[in-house]
Amino acid sequence: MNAIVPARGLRAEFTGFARLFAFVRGREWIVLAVALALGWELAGRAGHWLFLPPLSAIVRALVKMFADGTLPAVLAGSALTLAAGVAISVSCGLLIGAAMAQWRIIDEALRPFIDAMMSAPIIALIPVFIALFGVEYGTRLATVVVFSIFPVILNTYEGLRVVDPTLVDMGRSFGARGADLYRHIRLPAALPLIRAGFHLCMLRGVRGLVNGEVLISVVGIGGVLQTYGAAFAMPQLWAVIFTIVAFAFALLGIERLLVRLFMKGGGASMREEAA
Amino acid sequence: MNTALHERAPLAIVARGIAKAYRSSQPGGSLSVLEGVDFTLRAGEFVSIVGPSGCGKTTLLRILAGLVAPGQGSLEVLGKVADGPGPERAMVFQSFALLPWLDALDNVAFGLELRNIPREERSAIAADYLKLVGLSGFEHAYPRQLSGGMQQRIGLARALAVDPAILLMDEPLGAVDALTRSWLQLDLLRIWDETRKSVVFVTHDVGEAVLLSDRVVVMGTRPGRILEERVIDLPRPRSDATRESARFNELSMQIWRSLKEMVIERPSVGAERRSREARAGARAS
Repeated sequence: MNAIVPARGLRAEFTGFARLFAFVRGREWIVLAVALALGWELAGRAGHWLFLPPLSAIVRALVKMFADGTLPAVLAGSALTLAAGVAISVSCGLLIGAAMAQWRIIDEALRPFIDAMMSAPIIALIPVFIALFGVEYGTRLATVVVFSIFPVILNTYEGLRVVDPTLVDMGRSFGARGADLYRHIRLPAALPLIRAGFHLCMLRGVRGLVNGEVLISVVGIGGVLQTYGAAFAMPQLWAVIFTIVAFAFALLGIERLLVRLFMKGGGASMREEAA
Repeated sequence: MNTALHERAPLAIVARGIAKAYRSSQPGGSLSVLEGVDFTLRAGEFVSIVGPSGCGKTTLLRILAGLVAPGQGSLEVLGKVADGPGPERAMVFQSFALLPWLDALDNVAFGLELRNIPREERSAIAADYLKLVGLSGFEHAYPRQLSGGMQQRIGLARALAVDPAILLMDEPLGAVDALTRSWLQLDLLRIWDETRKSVVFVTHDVGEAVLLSDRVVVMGTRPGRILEERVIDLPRPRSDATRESARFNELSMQIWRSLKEMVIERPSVGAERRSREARAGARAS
C-alpha cells in the first residue's frame, strides 16, 4: 500500500515511542519529574553540596527508614492526628458556615474573628495553644484545626449564599421547608464550593500538622523532620520531606475517593476558590 | 359557552383586596406594587394576566402561589384560607428553575420525591409526564444538554406530575425564542385539553393570552391593579388556525388597545427598574 515501507526494527521502535507518547499525554508532569530527578542526581554527584545529596542517596535513606520501621510508625501517629483534626474542621466548619449563611447576626458576629484568624500568623499563636492545651496531643490537634477549618467555613458560607433564589422558590412552591430545602436544594447547589473547601482543608491540614509537630512537640513526621534537620542528616531530611508530599498526595487520593462515594452530583465541575 | 360552564364551576381561587408594598430605596418611602386586587379563578378555567412590566403581575402570581405573603387582603384556595404554598397548586417558572444536578426524569419527579413517593412509583409517573410533554427518550438528559424549550417542557411536566388542581405559570415562555414559543403555545393547548387544570398564566404577549385563555385580566401600573377583564369566547378546541380567525384578532386588538394607552400614557422609564426592585424585595422577604 505504501511506497516506502520502513524496516521492521525501525517500525518497532516507532510503536515503542508511540506508546510512550500515548502514556505521557495528559501526564506531562512525568516528563518534568524525570528531568528534575536526573538533574538532581547529576548535580548532587557533581557538586558535593551538603544540602543537595544525590537523589540515589535520598532514595536509599528512604528505603532504609521504611524498612526499619521509623517512618511507618511516625506516619501512623501523624495520620491519626490529621484525621482527627480534619474531621473536627469539616464538621464544625460546615455547621459554622451554614449558620453564618442562614443567620445574619451570626455572620456579623463571627466575620471579624474569621478575617482576623485568616490573616493572623498562626505560628505566632502556638504559645497560646501550649498554654491552653499543653505541649502534647491537644496543641497539635488545635494547630491542625486552626490551619484547616477556615476554608470549610468560608466555602460553605459562600456556596450557600450564591444558591439561585429561584431554585429555593421552586422548592418552596412544592412544599419544601427548612431541612428539606437544605437536603434537596441548598446543599446540592452549594456542593461544588463545599467540595473545594474540603480539598483546601485537607491540604492546609497537612501544613498545620507538620508545623505543629516541628514547633511544639518533637513527635510524628514533623518530629523526625526536626531531628534530622538539626543533625544535618540531609538524605534523611529530604526523604522525610518527600514522604510528607507523598502523604499529602495519598490524602488527596483518599479525598477524591470519598467525594466519589458520598457526594455524587452537585453542580458541574469543581471550582477552586482560594479562601 | 365556555363561560357559562365556568360560571357554574366551583371556585378554585378567590383573592380579595390584595395589596402589597415594599420598602423603597428612599428613606421612609414605600413602593406600592399591588393595590385592591380582586381575583377569582374557577375550576377548569384558564386565565391569563397581561400587563406592562412593573404592573405587579408576577408579584400577584407569587402571592397566589403562597411564596409571598400579601400585605393586605385574603386568599382562599379550593375554599380554604391559604397562608403558604400548598399541594393543590404547582408553579412553572420563567427561568425554568430546573435542578442542574438531576436528569430530566428526576427533575420531573422532584415534587413527588418531596411527597415521599417511592422511587419506582415516582419514576413511572415522571416518565408518563415526560411523554405528555413530548420528551420521551430524554429521561436521562441533564438540563444543560437541552434547549430552553425542552427545559421548560420539563418544568411543565414537573408541575403536572404532582397532579395539582391549579397550575400557576409565570411567563413560562418568556425565555424561549419566538419560533419555539409558537410551538409551545400549541403544545400547551393540547396539554391543557388533556389535563383540564385550572390555570393562571402570566404573560406580556397578548396573542398568547388570547389563544390560550378563557379569560384575560389586564393589569396597569402605579400601583399595580386590575384594569379590566375580558372573556375570550373563541371556541375550543383551539389550534394554530385560531390565530387566523377574525374574532382572535378582534379580541387581541381590544386588549392591545387598553395596554397601549397605558404604555403611551405612562412612558415609564423607571418602571423596569422599579419592577426589578420589587422582585428583589419579594425574594428577600
